[in-house]
Amino acid sequence: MPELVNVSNINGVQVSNVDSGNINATILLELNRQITAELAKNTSTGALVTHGTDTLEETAFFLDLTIESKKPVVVVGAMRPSTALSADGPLNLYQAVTLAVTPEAEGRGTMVTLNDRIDSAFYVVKNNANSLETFKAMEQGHLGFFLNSVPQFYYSAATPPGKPFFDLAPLNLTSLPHVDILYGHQDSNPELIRASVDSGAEAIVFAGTGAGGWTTAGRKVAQAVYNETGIPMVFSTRTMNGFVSPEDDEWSLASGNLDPQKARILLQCALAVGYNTTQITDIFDALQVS
Amino acid sequence: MITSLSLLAALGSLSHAAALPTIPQLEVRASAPSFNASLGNVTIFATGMSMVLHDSNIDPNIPQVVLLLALLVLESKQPATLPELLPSKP
Repeated sequence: MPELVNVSNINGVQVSNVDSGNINATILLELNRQITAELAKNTSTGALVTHGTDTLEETAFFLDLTIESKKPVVVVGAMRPSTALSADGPLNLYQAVTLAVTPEAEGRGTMVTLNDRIDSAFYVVKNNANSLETFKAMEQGHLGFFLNSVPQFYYSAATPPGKPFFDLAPLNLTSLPHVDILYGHQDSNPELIRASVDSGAEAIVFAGTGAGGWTTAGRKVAQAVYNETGIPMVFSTRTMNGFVSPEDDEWSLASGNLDPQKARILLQCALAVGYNTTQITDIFDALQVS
Repeated sequence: MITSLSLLAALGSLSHAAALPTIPQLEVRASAPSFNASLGNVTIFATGMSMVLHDSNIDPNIPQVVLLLALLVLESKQPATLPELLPSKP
């Protein structure tokens, strides 16, 4: 590895000690609080989060929505085990540190880096369960790459249209509202919608077929549950990429470019800060193309 | 310049730490003894993945963040010596 001592001073904090499949809202909120506090210090240049790759995109998206700082926040992981030949963790980690101290990385929100690529947390998705070449935003592209471990950007810093900010740190929350994702498929069980609400869901994301498609029976139940409870019903897509536009009705919302897991986190944040139905509708409307 | 000795001092104090609870956190300030004002300052927030080192001879109670720092600081200067420098299993 190149010499890190020529790149940055480093501190370390062990926030949790769990597999990424067990990252939960409590840990996310603690990360948010600690990173927000760290970046507020004049001496801080940037923050780096090491994370298992399975749910890395969810944590990165959450941090992107809840940390308001021009300083870089970088989330990094490794696809190969540390015992594997050509393990990718060490170089990913080194490159993540260089990214976090690069002035050109400022103003880009939370970023994800693995495999020599730099991506926006707002858009990036894990596309392959095994390959090193897995984190990418298929439609929006990479923000940049590493050349000899030096970050290179394709574009100037920019903010995704409609990206909201939720100031969670002052609220001292220990949990986030319960939001479920239901997966769309042929003959999907419409009663799962009511079961979700009965178990405490404060909003539901539908990972719809195609551009937010759902069975006719399921939509009837969803509308009925909305009429009874008023909880947000957001339609996204199971296809991982593509755009979901609003239906011509008064009860359903559309996720735009957000995949189901990102739409879920956005809903959790909006509900956590107390947004009402109108405010939540405005957030999702802002994600639509004009 | 971060020295091997300063980091090893930190490792020594942590080598008998019990397995970490999810929260609260353990904080390691490896760079404090040798702060270089001309460089940036990055804080690594480790959530628990073993992305850099998994050696059956190393004490499994050592927090991941220590291994991350150890790799970043030591391996770049002394390749292949890291497993010998970290505390072994009791």
